[in-house]
Amino acid sequence: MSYKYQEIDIERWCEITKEGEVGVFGSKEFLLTTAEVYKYNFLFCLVTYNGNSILTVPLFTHKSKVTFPNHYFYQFVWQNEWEKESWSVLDAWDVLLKQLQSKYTEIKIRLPISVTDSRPFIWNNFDINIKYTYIKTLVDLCYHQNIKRIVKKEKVEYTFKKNCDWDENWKFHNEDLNSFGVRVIHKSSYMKYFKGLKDSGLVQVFNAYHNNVFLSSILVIIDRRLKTAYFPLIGTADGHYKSGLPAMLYNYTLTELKSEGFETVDLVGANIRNIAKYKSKFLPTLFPFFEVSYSKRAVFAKTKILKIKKIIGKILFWVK
Amino acid sequence: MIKEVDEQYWSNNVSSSKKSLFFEVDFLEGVAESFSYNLHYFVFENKNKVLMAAALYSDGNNIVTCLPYTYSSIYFGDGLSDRKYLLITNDFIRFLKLKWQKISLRLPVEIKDIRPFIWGGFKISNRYTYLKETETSFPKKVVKNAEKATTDGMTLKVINAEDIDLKTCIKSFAKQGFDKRIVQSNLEMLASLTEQNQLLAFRADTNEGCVCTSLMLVDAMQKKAYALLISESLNEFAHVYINYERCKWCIKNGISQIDFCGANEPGIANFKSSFNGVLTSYSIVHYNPKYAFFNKRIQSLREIAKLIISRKFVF
Repeated sequence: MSYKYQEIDIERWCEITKEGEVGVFGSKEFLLTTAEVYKYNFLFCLVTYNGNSILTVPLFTHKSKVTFPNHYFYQFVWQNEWEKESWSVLDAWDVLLKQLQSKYTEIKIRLPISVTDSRPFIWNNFDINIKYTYIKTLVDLCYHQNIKRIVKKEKVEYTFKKNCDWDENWKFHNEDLNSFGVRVIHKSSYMKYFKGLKDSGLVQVFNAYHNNVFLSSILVIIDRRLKTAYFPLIGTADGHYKSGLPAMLYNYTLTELKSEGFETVDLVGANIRNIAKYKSKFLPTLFPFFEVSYSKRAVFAKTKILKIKKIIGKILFWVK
Repeated sequence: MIKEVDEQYWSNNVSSSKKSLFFEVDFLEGVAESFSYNLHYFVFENKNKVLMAAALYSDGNNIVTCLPYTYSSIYFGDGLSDRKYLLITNDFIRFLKLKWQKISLRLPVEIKDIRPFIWGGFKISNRYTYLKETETSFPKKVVKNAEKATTDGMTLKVINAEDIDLKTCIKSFAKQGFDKRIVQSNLEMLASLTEQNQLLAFRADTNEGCVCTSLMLVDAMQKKAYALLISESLNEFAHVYINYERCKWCIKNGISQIDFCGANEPGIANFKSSFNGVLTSYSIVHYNPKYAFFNKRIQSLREIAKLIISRKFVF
């Protein structure tokens, strides 16, 4: 008896994971929407040991690549609760990665923060990119004193509403992404992606207005099962920074989510210095996660270079 | 602001408050002498309170790490906010870059936020080790094997490291990644640590004599021990036995945590995982101005290409 790799269909995958807490990125609605928007195929991988499911991962593939849709996404990974801490999970990852490497030339996975051990990827020649995100717990909405001061302002110039004015929202975020220099091809996919998620009931929007004129908004991916919300698109508020609009919009959104029963918010990213500095004022907790990538060609080149380096090193050592 | 200070200043302001072997002048100097490196002390103070301290070694124009199994002597004061930590670390990196060319640091496990190093153009290697609280139990299989070794007549001797043949040990350790070219420096360093009574040797004996030797660095002030190296053994229970008995010795001698010093090779990591340690990550960070310059240019070119492509479609 040993580890066995299988590719399963979506129904079998739902069956295996139904008893566990499947987050939004592993939900059937999310997977179907994403695959449709990005024209991806599914690859549901399952690794079993002695017939018991140890690890299952729903991946997206495109041509000869395993890929992920965008940076507003974490790969859903299901690991058997009993095996989580044991070496068998590492062995299961090893089996899975070797299978993928035999079939695909490029593999990119954006691991969730729950996967803290990147060794199976290191041992299989993946490049590891450490990324960070901020997680804010909604139990106690405490902020840095600067934010507290803004939120307490009595002169309220702004009004806030949620889940309305969708057309204005799409237009606004489209322009926002444009000003960030996002390529047109990506921007159009992002918009389709969020519209698709909205149609599946996985997105909410929290808007800010000045004299009833739409100003900005925060787009939120919601995970009701895990009581977690994600802030992928936080709109800019040109001309309203000094009056504290962004802080008020954050506070409105966090308060609303808390009242809806959400427990944590992932601010989706803490990797750009200035943005991270601003987000840190909401006193979240910093968490690392990994983006791992593998390229058959790059590994081949690296191996050759390493061999040459070793030979040169040996020659130099003997010459000395 | 970060400043470089002398040994006296360090001794009075850092060693006295940060009670750890890795911040003791004797230890730091002993290591520096063994490798013929220069030693530099840095502190960041605010209102006469040390918020950050680091003792680093330099070799010519480069900052280097010389202990392949422990961490760079860097510490941050308790209760620092995220923003303060980022400010201090950015200042520290800027200071090092101004004075040195290549910079190599093995960050202690306590430093979890390495964003300042990423932003500073450092290359990051993610590494792991197992930390075991000595009071936590061992899995049944380990206990059974250790007991089997005892029944078979295996005994443990804790000796001062000078009583073992370090040279033979190092030859054996070379197979575990020890750089053979610096064997002499390592020997001197281990001898220096032995002189300071920081290094202990654990020897497992059977009727046939010594079957396995292991070296452990003890930081009594922090109540921590570092399981540095263990020699190869033909006896199937020797490694389990030494690790098990060493843990018992640590409990008796007030050591609360053992660092297994690495979990990065599959076979070795699998063995170490069997002692119920907690997997903990740390980072090795490298800075090479040439690579950083090259990467920055590539990134700029990418940004420009992105802009051109996006504008082409917009207009």
